Amino acid sequence: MKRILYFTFLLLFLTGCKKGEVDLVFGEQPEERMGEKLTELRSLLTSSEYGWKAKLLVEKPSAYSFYFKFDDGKSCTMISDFSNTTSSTPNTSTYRVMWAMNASLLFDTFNYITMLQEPSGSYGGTAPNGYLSDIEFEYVRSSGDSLIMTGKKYKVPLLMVKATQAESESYLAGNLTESIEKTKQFFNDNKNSYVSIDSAGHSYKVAVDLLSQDKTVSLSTITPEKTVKSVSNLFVFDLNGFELGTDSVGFLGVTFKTAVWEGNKLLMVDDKGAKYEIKNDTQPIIPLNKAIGVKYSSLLSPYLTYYPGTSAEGLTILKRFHEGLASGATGYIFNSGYISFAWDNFNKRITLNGFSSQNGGSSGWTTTIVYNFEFDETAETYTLTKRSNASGGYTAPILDQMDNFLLNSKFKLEYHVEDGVTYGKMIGVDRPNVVITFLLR
Amino acid sequence: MKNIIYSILGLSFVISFSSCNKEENLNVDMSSYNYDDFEKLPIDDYIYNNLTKPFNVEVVYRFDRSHTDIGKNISPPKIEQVQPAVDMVLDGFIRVYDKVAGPTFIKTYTPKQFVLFGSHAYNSNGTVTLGTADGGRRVVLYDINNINPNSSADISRRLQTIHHEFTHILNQIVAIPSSFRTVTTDYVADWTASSNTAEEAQALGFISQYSRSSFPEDFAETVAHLLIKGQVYYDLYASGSTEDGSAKLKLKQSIVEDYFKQFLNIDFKELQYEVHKVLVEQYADESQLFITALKNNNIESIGVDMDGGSEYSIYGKSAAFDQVWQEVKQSFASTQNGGFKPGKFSIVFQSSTRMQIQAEFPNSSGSTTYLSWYDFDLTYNSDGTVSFKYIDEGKTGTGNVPYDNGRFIKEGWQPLLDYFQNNIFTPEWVSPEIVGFGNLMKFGGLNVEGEVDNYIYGPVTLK
Repeated sequence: MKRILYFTFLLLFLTGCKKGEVDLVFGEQPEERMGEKLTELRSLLTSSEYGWKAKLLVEKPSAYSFYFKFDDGKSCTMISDFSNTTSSTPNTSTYRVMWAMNASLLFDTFNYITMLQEPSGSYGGTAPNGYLSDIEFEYVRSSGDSLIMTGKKYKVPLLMVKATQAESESYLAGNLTESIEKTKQFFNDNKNSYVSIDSAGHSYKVAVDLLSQDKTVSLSTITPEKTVKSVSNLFVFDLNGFELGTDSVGFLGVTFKTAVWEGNKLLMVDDKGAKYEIKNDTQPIIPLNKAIGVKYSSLLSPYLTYYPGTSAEGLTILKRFHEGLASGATGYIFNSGYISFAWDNFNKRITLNGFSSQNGGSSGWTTTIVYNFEFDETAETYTLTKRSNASGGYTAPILDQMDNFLLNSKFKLEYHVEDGVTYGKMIGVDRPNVVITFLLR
Repeated sequence: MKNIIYSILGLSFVISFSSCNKEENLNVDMSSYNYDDFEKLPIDDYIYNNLTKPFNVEVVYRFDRSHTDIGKNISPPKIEQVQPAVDMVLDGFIRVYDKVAGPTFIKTYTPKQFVLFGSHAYNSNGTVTLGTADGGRRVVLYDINNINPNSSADISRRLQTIHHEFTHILNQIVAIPSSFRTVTTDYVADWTASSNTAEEAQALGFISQYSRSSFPEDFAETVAHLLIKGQVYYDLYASGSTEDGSAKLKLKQSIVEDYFKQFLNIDFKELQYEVHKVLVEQYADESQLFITALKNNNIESIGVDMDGGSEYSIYGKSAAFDQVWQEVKQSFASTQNGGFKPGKFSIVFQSSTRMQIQAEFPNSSGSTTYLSWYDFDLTYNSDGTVSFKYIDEGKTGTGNVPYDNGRFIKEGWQPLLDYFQNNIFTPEWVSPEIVGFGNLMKFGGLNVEGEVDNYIYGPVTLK
């Protein structure tokens, strides 16, 4: 009995004094795990001997490409396609890898990437948010030769890929500028650029428009059913063309990834590696009656300017206005003016403006007539009815012939290409002798 | 018995197990993750040698969210903009106090941390914060990327903010004298309200619209304006106010001076002068120069009383000009219009391009004093000097008697008129190192170009 008691007390003694080790849920002390993560990111950044190519998608929305070279001295040399200066002149600032909930990369002094984050609008963004971009990035993951980070404030993705020696040298020599200029020039020279895509037994011409200011490339085509189909993608410039910013926006079954130069040809490349040469058509791919009000906002006839393609009867209508301005047909003498048609597809309205000026166009008076229109999809003709009579300004008397034509004749809209310039043409249906060429705006 | 033993045992087990269930705090050592352990740049050494080591002041220029509100949009500074910012703080603020108030003062009271940001701090609603000071310890300077050391206006604006904020810090150590609170009582709840116009603030005796927000702001604004905009600006502002407002502004200045002298043992006038010197010498600030005041038509006159002015016996006079004055006396004595003697005269600036000598001449008994006027065209030379050219527009008759007197006695005054006509002058405030800090911008003079010892000076009256 006593033994049992002693034994029990001994047991009590042992259990009562046993102190347990703290259970570490993740196996290591927190500071050790932090240290590992920090070291991982630090060594990753400097591990790429020739730096990193990066894509930053800002919330504005827009996209920019970067080249980063991180060195052990905690400085970072940068190139960006943000502007001509940033793409040609490498700039060095400092960076830090620090812990803030996760291993984070912080560009802690001003550099090109800060121009997007700068809140004031001095770099083209909008106060108080700039381009809605970040300079603090959280380490998400890395795989192979790429590194993925996310902005702390706006959650903008920063995608980095290791650069090769040749790329590094090219970036630091400022060659990105040339590449940007070459690509921009291509689209400037080839206004009607397109790629051919075969899909579901139909060969589509897909218009490729590069809006380099907005960093947007838009693809659009006209289906056999005569409807317009289009997508827009953000893109960034790289050393050999451009790269689409967002993943997998498919168009007619094709997902484009990049555009690359091969000699003087610019080729779109899809996710399977297939290449599509960007060619130039004689006139825009999307018919004018689909593009007006979308790509082009208006048709314009500037003061005393008559464009090729205009018929004799069309010329009479234009001259009635332009020559009437100076002759005093309105009751007043003017020395400048114009006619413009603005399309409002949503409300199915066309606004005709007749502007007149006595000081060469710097200020003046506008007469406005608004028409409702019906568009016949098969015949592709416009039928106009008057919505509101001429109001304001002084040019109603010399817009009479134009008004008469619009109300009494259906018309078609077509392109007219002359000497590399694309105009818009109004062709009478009931009065086929009337053809008027306008400037597209 | 056994039952009792067992139940005691049972209880002991329960107690022992529960007592063993001890929670331990995890001992985490974060000391090796100091995020400030970056590699030093040349600018870091510069800051260490010029600010941290001598004054124990830290400058944080690398971006750190924790130094600003998390909700604000703000950018880091450009590295090359850090040094101009540091120099501005050092020269325009710390070294000035260091010199005037002594190293102990500045080491004790200076904010210990300056945080630099490249942009302004934008709030999400679009408003902007210009500057902040936290708890007497940290001063945050914004918009460093746009500091322009070649623009004295830009530097002055920023230094004014720093001196304003530092005054708040001083006020936390020594409270603002209660006498200051009662000078003006027209404080308003919302100083940005449209009813609080600049004119109204001036008429009521406030140095700025912001001054009206509260008396501590008023105090800080008064100090910052006196230091950066200068004494002449302050005096002109006061004379542009109402009589009551002017008196209140003067009173506020004397309370400020008294505060600095009594509680901090600082000669405020000396501080003003040192700040002025930095602005002029480092940042080519011309706003407070005598010649700028002349160009702006702010100077009424310089009074010269060669025989009666006490300043000449205290601070000395120019031997070269005294020679001219003796010639004037001789020519008075030798003219046929005997009996008259040269008296005191004023150099009156009627406009920015017209100067008039208004000279008194008493008769032999001294019973009557007459006045003579002589007009001069004033031209500014490109090297900062001025020239005078005598003109006689032939004004005569009623209201122009001093001109007639002038023609009558011109022969007597001729050596003085020649002195103005034949010399090129540099207009200057007389340095307080000569006339004392109490007379800062009270005496002005004309120095003959190229001759250090040839000058004419006297007390200045502002318009």
